[in-house]
Amino acid sequence: MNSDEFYSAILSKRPRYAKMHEDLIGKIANKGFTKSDITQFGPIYELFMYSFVIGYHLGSRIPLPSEKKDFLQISQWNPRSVVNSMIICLINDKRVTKLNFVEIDNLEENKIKEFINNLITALEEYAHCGLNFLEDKWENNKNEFDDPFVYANILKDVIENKKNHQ
Amino acid sequence: MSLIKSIAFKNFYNFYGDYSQNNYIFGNGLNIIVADNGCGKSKFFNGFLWILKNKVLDSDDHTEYDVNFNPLKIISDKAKAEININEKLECGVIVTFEAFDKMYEVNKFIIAKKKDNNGKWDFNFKDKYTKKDVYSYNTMRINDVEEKDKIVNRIIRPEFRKYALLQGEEVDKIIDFNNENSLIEAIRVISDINKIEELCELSEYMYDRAEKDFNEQMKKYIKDDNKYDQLLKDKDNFKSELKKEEEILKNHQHNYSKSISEKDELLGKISSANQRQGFRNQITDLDNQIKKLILEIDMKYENLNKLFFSENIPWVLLGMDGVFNEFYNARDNYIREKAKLEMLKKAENNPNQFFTLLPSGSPDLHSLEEMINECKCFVCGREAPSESEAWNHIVNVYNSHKKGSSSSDSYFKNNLSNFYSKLQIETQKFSIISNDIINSVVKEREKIKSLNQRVGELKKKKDLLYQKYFEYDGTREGIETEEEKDINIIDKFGKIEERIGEYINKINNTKNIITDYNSKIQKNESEISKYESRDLPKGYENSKNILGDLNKIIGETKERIFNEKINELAFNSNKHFKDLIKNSELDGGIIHFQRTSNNTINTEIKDINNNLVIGLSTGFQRMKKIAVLMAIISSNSSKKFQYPLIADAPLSVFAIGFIKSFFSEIPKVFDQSIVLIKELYDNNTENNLTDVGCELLENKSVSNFYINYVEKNKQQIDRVTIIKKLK
Repeated sequence: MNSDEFYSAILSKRPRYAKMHEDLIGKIANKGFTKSDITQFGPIYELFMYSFVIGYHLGSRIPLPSEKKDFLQISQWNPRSVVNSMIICLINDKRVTKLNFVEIDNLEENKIKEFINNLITALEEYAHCGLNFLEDKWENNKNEFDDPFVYANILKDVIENKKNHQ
Repeated sequence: MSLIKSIAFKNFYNFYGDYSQNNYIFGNGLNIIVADNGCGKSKFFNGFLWILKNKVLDSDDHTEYDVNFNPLKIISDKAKAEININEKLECGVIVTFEAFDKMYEVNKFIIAKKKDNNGKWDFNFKDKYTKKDVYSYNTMRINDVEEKDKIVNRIIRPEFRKYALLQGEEVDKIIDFNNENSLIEAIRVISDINKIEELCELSEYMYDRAEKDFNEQMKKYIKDDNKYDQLLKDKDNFKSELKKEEEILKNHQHNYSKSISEKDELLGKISSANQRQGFRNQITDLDNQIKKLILEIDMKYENLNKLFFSENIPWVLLGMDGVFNEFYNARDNYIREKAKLEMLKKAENNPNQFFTLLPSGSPDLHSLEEMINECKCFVCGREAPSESEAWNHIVNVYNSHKKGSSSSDSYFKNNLSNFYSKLQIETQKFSIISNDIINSVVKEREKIKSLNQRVGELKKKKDLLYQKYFEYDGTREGIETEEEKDINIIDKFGKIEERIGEYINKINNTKNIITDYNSKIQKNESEISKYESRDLPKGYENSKNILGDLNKIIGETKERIFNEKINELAFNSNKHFKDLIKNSELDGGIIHFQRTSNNTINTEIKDINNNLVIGLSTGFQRMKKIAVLMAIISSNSSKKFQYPLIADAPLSVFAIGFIKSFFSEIPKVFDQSIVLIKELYDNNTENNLTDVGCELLENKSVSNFYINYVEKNKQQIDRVTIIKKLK
């Protein structure tokens, strides 16, 4: 598999989220249509990417439950530079793969496909952790969402906590 | 003087429950009850009306009715709904007060018995009066009707109630500047000038009698008594006509004064309308600026989360610096490792072939390709224009690298080097991005904060403009609906000017007639005085002369005292007026008091250059009246009113400045005041008070402070007044 094929294989995937987060997603992501009293993300993938980053900084992957829902293909996510950044996070993450880049180059075709699937699973599980985190905030500290900068505040807090624990 | 200690209600209008649940305690100084509309202000006031006058004011038609006229309306709806047929309930008011070292309790109540569910009730009106000595604590029940009346009069005497019970806009009638008698009447009640006037009447009567007696006696002793008699008749006739003309003159002067007031009012309207238009324009302009800013803020909020995914500084990548650097290192290692392995594989497969290996850290094929296309070296950062030496070098390196690597592709199952290169190139700009993200977030916060601050400043500016607008009788509704039309003002103004001209002519004509009669009387008296009789006993003439002198002296004394009272009134009114308007930005002018020929008082406002000031707002007009009222009260010898002031919201037309001044001035005149007010209530603050309300709460001259609430989310019948004591 060459670089273009590898990259296209990743971009062709449609990650999933747990159906249990549908309500929260409905409130926090306006998909460009609905309005809310709190600040919102646009399309679902934006919230997904944000949740992935939260989960990644929390360092925790949580497997998805049985009821899942997919959405837009990664190739249609914007901006591409952020998507690439996420791929860097995954491909370089020892919690995702112990293989180095040379070893990846030596994988058989079926294994490389498996590798790609693992990347996507990791993506989903980090995002699920992030969504759980947001769900918990929504239930217990809803007033935080009155601040338009809530998502910046949450990200900053998660990163600071991570630094303090290291 | 009397001091009200408390008032309590039982099932009285929306004061549901027992007396202990609806109890207000009062002390000296200011006692303030803050209540929004519908929270019991006018009903509280009715409690005092019942005790003092056995009446209540109907808020629908602003008329006072006897308590027994419609008692069902007075009783709490909730209490009425709760009892069954043939059961009874009590509705009442208790006032306790102290006067002349005695403590009094006056309780008036109705026992109502429900007869059926169709509104049929029986009513039994009762009262209970007790008196307790403050030193010995002996308590006595009072049953005598006259004694009960005396007790009630000790709270506030009937003749003073008009000046001590202020019910909203009714205060305008107490001092009516359109009615010249209004001030005279007020002065008469508060001061003792009526006694002097009685003395004047008596001395005039005595003089008249003495003169009549003298004239009668003279007739007996004069020879040509027909002519003398005719002179006396003529004199009586002239005097009678003179009196009529004086009445006519009084009437013309009254009409003239009224017309002047109307003209003043109209001028005020014209002037106020212009002012209001000016303020409206400014307010509209501010409104537009505020709307624009709010729109900008809303847009910022809406787009805030887009900044997480911006191309240049995506906030979502906060804290990722280390990850990128790790990746770049991993990629470098991969390139080196792969090159080594390729070389080894090549050497293994082609032991005799010479081959080259690019030094560690050299750019890969993909990067070289980009460098060629962009005519720039990524290694040193310098430009490499097409066909230049540097560019050609890059092409050579590319070609040799390509040649070298093409045969290596088969050594690995996959070749992801371009993939990693692509990732690196596209994320290079993010490698040290965290600080930029933090700065970007801070900058965005500052921008929004600054916009919000600007909105706040503009809103404050708008509020100040509204205050000024209200001082010129503006209403909030006037801003939003079409502009006020002053259609017939000019026309009305013209007609009033005509009438004023007519009255001036009439006054002058009548004055000429009066002068004429006076001169006739003088001439007549001169003729009469020529008649002498040595035979007439001197006593009659002496009596006439002495009583004449006495009459003159008393008249002059009355004039002197009257003028002194007016000057004192003017001085004190202006002192109070100045203090009342000190927190307002407008200059209210100086109140001038003018004595009229028929012994009434006209008022005018003039500025320091003695020019008439016109067009003052309703708030200002009422403040003028309150200033004069306070001056009248403080014109008596003790300088303070002997009775408490009970005022129900006379401040609805006042801006904040006026309200502050009002509360600052009232304690100077009244030892005790109980003021009910809506304008200190604010639904949006934690303690439901405005800034001025909070200031007053901390003020030492405020002895008690209450807020009345009604729970809005309840059914109408359950909306009872809840009393909260803050101080």
